[in-house]
Amino acid sequence: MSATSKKRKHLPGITVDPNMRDYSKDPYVLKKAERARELIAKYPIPEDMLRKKPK
Amino acid sequence: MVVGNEYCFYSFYSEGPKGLIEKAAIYTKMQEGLYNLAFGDWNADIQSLDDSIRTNNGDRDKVLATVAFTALDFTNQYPNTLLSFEGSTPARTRLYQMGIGNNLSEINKNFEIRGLRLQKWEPFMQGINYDAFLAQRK
Repeated sequence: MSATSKKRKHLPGITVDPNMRDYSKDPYVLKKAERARELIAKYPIPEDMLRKKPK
Repeated sequence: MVVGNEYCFYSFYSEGPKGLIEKAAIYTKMQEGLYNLAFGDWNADIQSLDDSIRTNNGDRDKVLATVAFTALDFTNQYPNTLLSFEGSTPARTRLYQMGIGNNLSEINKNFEIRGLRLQKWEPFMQGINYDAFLAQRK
C-alpha cells in the first residue's frame, strides 16, 4: 500500500499556509501516535482493509 | 481552514460564545499506508495541542464535521491510506462515536468505518460503544 502524495487540489475553503505551525513534535501528537502504535500492534489492521484499494 | 505544506496539519477555528478557539487535526504517519488522526485545541499556556479541554463553544457538531472534512481532504492527497483515531479518554471516544453515528449516512458515502470492540475490528454500527476507529476511503 502506497501513501504517495498526489498533491491534488484541496477541497473548497482550504488554503495552504507554508508558515503553518509545525505540530510534528507536539507532545500531544507524539503521545497520540505512540498510543495508536500500541493499539495497532495489539489489534492489527484487518487483512481485508490492507488489501483494499480505493476506487 | 489552512493546511500545512505536507498536507498533514490542518488548522481551523471554533467560533461561538467563548470566542475563537484554535483547533487542529494532525495526521501522523504510523507505517506505510496508515496514519493516525490527532485532534485537539491549541493550548497557548502549554504551547501544545490538548483535547482534555471541554470547549463548550456551542459548535461541537460543526467542529466534528470540519474534522471529517479534513479527513476527506487528506485522503484526497494520500488516497491509499487508512486512518486510525480514538479519543484521549473514553468520554472523548464516545464523543467521536456520536459524531460518526449522527452523520453515518454522509460519512458512509466516502469512508468505510470500523470500530474496535471486544478486541476486534468490526463494521461501525450506531449505538455500539467502541474503543477506537479505523477509516478507509471508499
